[in-house]
Amino acid sequence: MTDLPPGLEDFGARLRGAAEADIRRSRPRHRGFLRDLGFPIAATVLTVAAGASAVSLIDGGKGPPIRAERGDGAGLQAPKDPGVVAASATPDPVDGPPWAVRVYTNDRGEECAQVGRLRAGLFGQIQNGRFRELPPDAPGTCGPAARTQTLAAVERRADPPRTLVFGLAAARSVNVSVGSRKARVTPAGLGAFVVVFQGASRAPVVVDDGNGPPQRPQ
Amino acid sequence: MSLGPIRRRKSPCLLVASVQDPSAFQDFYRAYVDGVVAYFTRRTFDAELALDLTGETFALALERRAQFRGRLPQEEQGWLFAIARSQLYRYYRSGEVERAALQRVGLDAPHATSADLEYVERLIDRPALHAAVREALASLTTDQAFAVCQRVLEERSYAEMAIELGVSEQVVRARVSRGLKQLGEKLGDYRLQDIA
Repeated sequence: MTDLPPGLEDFGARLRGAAEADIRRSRPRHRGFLRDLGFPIAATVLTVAAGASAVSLIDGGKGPPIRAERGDGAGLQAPKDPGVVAASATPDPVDGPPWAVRVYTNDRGEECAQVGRLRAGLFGQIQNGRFRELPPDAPGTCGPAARTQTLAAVERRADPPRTLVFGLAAARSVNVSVGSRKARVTPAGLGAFVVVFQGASRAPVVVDDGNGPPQRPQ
Repeated sequence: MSLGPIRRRKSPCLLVASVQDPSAFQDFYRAYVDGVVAYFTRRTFDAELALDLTGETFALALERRAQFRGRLPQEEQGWLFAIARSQLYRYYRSGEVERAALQRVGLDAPHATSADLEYVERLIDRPALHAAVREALASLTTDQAFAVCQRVLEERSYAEMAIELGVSEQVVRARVSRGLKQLGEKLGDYRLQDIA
């Protein structure tokens, strides 16, 4: 390591102090991040509860929805305060229930996002022609709570074939591209957004919120 | 240009370790600050400006370090310089140094003591820079070199130069434009030396 002059050396020490403060702040909170927020979220967050049907939905999938059984998920500890951001609901380009984002805080204090469909107040996905609720402990994509760049992920579904780019934005608009196909989305409450492309494309995905280098979720 | 040795840790990547270890972030800073300062100085020719841009770059790196998905020192270096490039382009577009990240993390930019300014000048290797500029000027035609020097260094107007040279303003503009383009291409090779 080279010897730095006083101004740069001092700045390095101050950066270390800022890193210490950042690590202290990011330690897990136990109250659930949704209650910590200072802006009204009741209008945009639907808490998924047994039998809830507060959202007017396009019906999809044959027959009644299949409810999740305990232990259907990845076996992670049940997260705190999962909530579907109803305002993130985005129509499917062809048919079926709209897509939306569910958010929660994991036990490491990270913010997490999942993507699924909304039907009759339930959050899930269509499998083999039936709508199946996604269990509360299904894994999501997580990032630090104090984020300054968008948390973005991509999921490719086979039936029907869709490429879903979703996450929690740190900006007022997000540009998304899958190969040559582009979209701009205005995030809903908590920064939740989802963009739906037809086809399960392997083309490169780019998410640009203008806050730094574009991201390329895999 | 050497960027200094990377201290061996459990993770070879200082940035990954820094998510939980503040001393790792300070090591990350020490490993790359020379390269970042040199990068900005060679593109702005202003030591204080380079230090301001360096401060904002590392403040952003601190904020975003948990989002880094690489594992190797080369990857963290590339990630850091992507942030640095972004800051440089913002400066070119706005004419001002962004300080938003510094404010968010509660820091001021590095203080530029005289020792820091001398350090920055040593980083840009002034004799090599002079040699590069002389060589680049020598690659111009006589007319282009004269036009560029009069316009850029003496800040003479095109109209004034046209009258003195007995040519149209358009001709003078063309000589300056082509001369600057040629200089840019020649000096571009010099700037590329600082980052492999």
